[in-house]
Amino acid sequence: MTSLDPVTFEILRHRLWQITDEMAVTLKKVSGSPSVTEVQDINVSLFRKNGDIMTSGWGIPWHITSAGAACRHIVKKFGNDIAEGDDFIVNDPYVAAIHCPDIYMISPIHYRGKLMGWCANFVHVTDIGAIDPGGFSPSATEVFQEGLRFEGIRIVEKGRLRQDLLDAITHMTREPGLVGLDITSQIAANNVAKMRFRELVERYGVSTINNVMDGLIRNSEAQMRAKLRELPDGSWKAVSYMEVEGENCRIPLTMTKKGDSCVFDLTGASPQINRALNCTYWGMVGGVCGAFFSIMCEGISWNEGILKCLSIIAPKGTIVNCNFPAPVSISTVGATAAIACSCITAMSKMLLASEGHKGDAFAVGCGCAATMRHSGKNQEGHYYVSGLWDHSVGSGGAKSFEDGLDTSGGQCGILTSMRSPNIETTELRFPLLYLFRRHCPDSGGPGKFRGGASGDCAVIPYSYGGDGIKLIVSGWGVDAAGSAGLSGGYPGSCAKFVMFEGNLREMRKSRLPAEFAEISGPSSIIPPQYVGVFDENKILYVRWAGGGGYGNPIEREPKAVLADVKKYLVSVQSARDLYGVVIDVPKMTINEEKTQLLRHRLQAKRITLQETRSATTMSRVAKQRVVSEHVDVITVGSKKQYRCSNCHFLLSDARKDWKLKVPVRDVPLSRSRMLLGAADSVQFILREFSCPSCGRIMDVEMVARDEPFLIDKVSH
Amino acid sequence: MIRSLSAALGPRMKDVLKKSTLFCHGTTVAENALLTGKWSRAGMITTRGFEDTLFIMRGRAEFSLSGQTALTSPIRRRKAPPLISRNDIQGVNERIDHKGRIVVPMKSKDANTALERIANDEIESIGVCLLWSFVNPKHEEVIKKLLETRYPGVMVTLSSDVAPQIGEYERMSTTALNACLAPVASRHLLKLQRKLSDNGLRCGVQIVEGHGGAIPIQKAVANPVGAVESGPAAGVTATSQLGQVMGIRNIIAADMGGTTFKVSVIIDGGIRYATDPTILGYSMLTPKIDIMSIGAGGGSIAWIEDVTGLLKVGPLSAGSKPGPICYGLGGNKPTVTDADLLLGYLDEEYFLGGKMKLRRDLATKAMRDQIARPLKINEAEAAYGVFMITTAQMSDLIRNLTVERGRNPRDFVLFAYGGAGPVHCSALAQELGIGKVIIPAMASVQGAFGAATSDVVHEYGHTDFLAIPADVQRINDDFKEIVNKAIGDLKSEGFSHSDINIARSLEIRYKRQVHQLIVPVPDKLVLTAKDLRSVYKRFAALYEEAYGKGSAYEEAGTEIVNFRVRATGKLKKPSFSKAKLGHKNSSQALRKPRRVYFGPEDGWVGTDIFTWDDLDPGNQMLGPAIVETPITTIVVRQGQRGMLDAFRNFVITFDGDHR
Repeated sequence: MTSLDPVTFEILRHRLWQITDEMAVTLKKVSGSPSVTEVQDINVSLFRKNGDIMTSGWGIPWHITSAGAACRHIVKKFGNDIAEGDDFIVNDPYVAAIHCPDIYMISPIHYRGKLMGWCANFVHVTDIGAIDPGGFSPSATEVFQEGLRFEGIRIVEKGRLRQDLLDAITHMTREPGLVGLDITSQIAANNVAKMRFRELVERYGVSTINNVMDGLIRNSEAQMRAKLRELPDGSWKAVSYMEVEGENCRIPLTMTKKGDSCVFDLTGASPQINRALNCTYWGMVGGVCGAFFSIMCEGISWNEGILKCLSIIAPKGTIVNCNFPAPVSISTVGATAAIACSCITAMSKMLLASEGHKGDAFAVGCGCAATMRHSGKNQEGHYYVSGLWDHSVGSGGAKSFEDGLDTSGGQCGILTSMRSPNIETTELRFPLLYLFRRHCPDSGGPGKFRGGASGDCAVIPYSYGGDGIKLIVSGWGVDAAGSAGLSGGYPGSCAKFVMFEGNLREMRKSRLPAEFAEISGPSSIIPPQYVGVFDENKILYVRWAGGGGYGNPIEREPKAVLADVKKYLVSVQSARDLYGVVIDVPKMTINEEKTQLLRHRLQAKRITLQETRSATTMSRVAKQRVVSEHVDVITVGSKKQYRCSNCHFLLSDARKDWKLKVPVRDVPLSRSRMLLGAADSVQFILREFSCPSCGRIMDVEMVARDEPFLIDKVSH
Repeated sequence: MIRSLSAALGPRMKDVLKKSTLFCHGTTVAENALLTGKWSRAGMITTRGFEDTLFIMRGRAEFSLSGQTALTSPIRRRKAPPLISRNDIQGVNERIDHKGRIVVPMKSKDANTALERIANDEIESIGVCLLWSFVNPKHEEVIKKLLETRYPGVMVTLSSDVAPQIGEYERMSTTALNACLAPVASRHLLKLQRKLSDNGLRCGVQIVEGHGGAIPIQKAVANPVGAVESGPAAGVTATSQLGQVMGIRNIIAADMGGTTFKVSVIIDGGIRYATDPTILGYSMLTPKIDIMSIGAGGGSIAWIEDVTGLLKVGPLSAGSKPGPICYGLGGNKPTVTDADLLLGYLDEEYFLGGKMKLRRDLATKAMRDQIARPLKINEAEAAYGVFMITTAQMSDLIRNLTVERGRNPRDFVLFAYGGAGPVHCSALAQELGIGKVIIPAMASVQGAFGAATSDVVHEYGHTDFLAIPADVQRINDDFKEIVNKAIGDLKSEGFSHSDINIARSLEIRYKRQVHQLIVPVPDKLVLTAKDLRSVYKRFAALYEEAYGKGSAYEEAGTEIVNFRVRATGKLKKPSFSKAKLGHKNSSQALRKPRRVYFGPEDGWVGTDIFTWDDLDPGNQMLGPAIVETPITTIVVRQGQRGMLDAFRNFVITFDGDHR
């Protein structure tokens, strides 16, 4: 495959990865700020001299492609005026980066005066001087209000820091000290990369290193194409929604796979809005590619080679590819993440159509944004800006063989580097007091394999100075559930933000509330994008979305349901209503008889056929292709037919879609017991498709009422 | 253990025990219980509303894989199985704030109800971890009293005792580990002590801890989490002791066994302690030597990647069962040990001193069919590729550990031990540009040797957040209280004043930043404002050294976070016997030479083979050479010189440019 000997190649591959690892360590060491060190909102990567991604390291995967674009932009802008020891800053989302607070540090790597490649990292800095503190700006209506925006400045010139420039930047933020440290850490991380890279070239020679870099990209492409060829051709659909000021923005996706390449088509996305959830072209590319890397590229080096197998269609002027100067500061957790959610579902459905790759399918986890920033005067009277990062633990989507991870996986279930700080470290630094932080019961999407549980927490201001705390909420996933299930599994819970009236003085008279139901007092729902004052008479409640489930809940092992009940992850009532498992309280044992009966009834009520028509049941014919967990294709005579893989009932002619032929039940989200905390909105429904003969649920769509069926096509 | 002692010593056992003045025991009871899932059922009391802390784990999930493989496989993430089931955790209505002020007082009635809910016949142990208990332990102590009165047989672990530090998740995880291990460990250790004294032992028994020191068995029984990973820790302690004797201050201690390669770095004679230690995915705040490991060992499996046709080693391991193919125990995938055999580094007739005959035929066939043929190279080249990739992975780990601390690996001496370490260390040193390698005489029993050379060490911590400049009186008072307790503890264990050493330090941080640093405090009973100023200055210097120039945000202010006291009770130590160096000629130890492969450039080279047992101190040899010991094999490469030193350590040095 490569002209290099395979041993040297493997040694150098490992060494290059180690360089990115060392960059990440340096970022965390030097910065020392919570968002870098404890939450790990960072990314580090190495690039070829033309900006092609070579080795991507730890961090948020959305940024890998954007950093490559940033390198290319610097080449274009500075041309021959790029010298050894230069470091550049890019954070303009219309040029490369995703939103302004994510500062990219882009540095050329030279060897004996010749450009060999680039290293890049990003850090979400503490503040960027926008209309709202902390980088996410729900108040902004155009990008000019979203803070400092650089489409390329030289912060270090030939190894010399331009202190005046750094001072100018930090001076325009609310947290000059911390932002200064963040940027210093970024310079330090790239210096480490440059030094290590040069050592490698010194040792192995320019041509060997160039060969390895070429080989890495070539190998990844070959591996990716080989994997794609093993998967069936077809097209798969998914849709995500984001609520903005009462409107629902729609992000539909059709992913078409043919041979060894994939096309992601976002045509039909809502027009751009004048709120910051839009994403630019690069935010959109980051969402698609970040999801693709995470779901499709196990064991393959994430680099440019993989991208050669992809193409993307995203109409301009939409929420997924907005025109300048639309605001985009919430895009990383907004449209970019929502695109990733759609991509995860579409790709997973493709993987499920292949028996060999079924194990890689992943329901969406934590399909929402619950990003909180707060600022004000702390216990000691000093002004601060910071985040509430409880939601960053996320929740994992279920897999085809096991449950999703509870409270882990970050947003979309694939931001695996994300962590949440301890409550004690937050209370030490900031004027807040937690009433509780726990797993949220019934938050994981019901399924044969349950979606990962999310968590919820309640916080009150505590010993703050000044006039209260400014609270900035940047969210979505409150009305529509963003964590889609797979193969008849239900979506995970919606997010929820509530402000209660109440204060510590009153609460401590009895017991402090320790769960949602125990918080009393008048309450109001906080809209998903919100800026307001948080003071001693308020209680903030935050719940983030649970992971999507996999398969039919009534096929879940009753023992597993009981175990969930004992862990307070599923309520006794949900065990009965959703999983068909009857638990005798207080003995906490399964009532086998009632369970069997109930499960039978739940499935039987969906049977629409009056009698079993044995003529249309085809058990003896071997399946030709799997279409999904519950549907396969067989050939009867000269005709191909869709068949229920459970009862072998023939669903339809394979030239038509089976979804058009089977019973469909629409349940408004607000009335569905399947979904914890769904808002009162009647716009969204759970659309359940079931087998007319055996009653098994074959697919569940979480869609707007007027959304056409999500019809997948698998070639056979 | 008694059984193996008596097997080794026979009828002399009682005699030896009677005459013993020191008995140190490095126990793996904690790790074994965790690995086999056989910990005791324990309960946990926490602040109401935070019962899921142990399960949320701050979002952490472990990968079974590491490095790039982990990044590209998000679907393979798992959380460690919970130590305590959710049913056995109860919240109690109480709340303390970050200053230790009681926001909601705890009612005994509530605490009793919580205890009643978890107490049952199967619960042998209960942990208590309340928010902010390390600042104000009052509520935890009340619960302890209640437990002792109402459930006298149940063991109690308070988080404010076992891990008095900020961070409720890590503190609760440590508390849970201790609560779950305490019954198992105490049964094991008390039985051991009884048997030892039945057999004549008169001195106290010391248990080695994860920080490398030892504590009396009575204390270890209540604090089993402290003994986690004490084996590898003792290996590092022994290495550091040996380094001290030899006058070597910068050491890379490398231990390569069948499945893992473990490295710890000693800088300026100081052992480094882990900042965020974990065991099998569980966080723990117990002081522990910083030992990094990767899954590279003799059992690591070599394979060819589909599509790209690249040679890979690991992360899968054949372990010890079925083990490498050459063990003939059913392994069928070529491993690093198989490669070592094919290259002639290992002798099929003299592996483990001849205790195990290796199957060269099986290893050759597998290496040929699975690696060499697909790569279109010969078996020796294939085996050498496996050897080099493994060496590179080990060197990458060492490079990271040293350069991350701003040090160059060239400034270190490599100490190599463990079964597979000495085979690879000379190539590893070459790769890293390290000029000197030492294979300790005790290479196989480095851990046991470490146990025998350790002192009794108690670590104390007390959190008191004090903005700097802080009140001198308060600092002195805080220290005085801990030091008095420490001295009292050691005295009660039989140490006299002259054998007690007290080291005090402050944990300091910049207010808005996350990192905390431990800064030693002058060795004076009463500190002055001037002393403290020097401590603060030292902090700023240490911070910049550890985290890089310009990494401090001084404007945010500094504060003291923790008061730390390390109390050492000096134990008698075995002395290193130093032999006289004899002649350089080592020919008396020569065995039959064989051909050994040293890479495509040199090919097969006729190589001298020595028997370690027959070497005398002072003997030297030029590479290439191989020295076979009953437990490991040492490879001396071309351009290197081997020598047995006065302590019977084997020393490899490089002549000229060793790259």
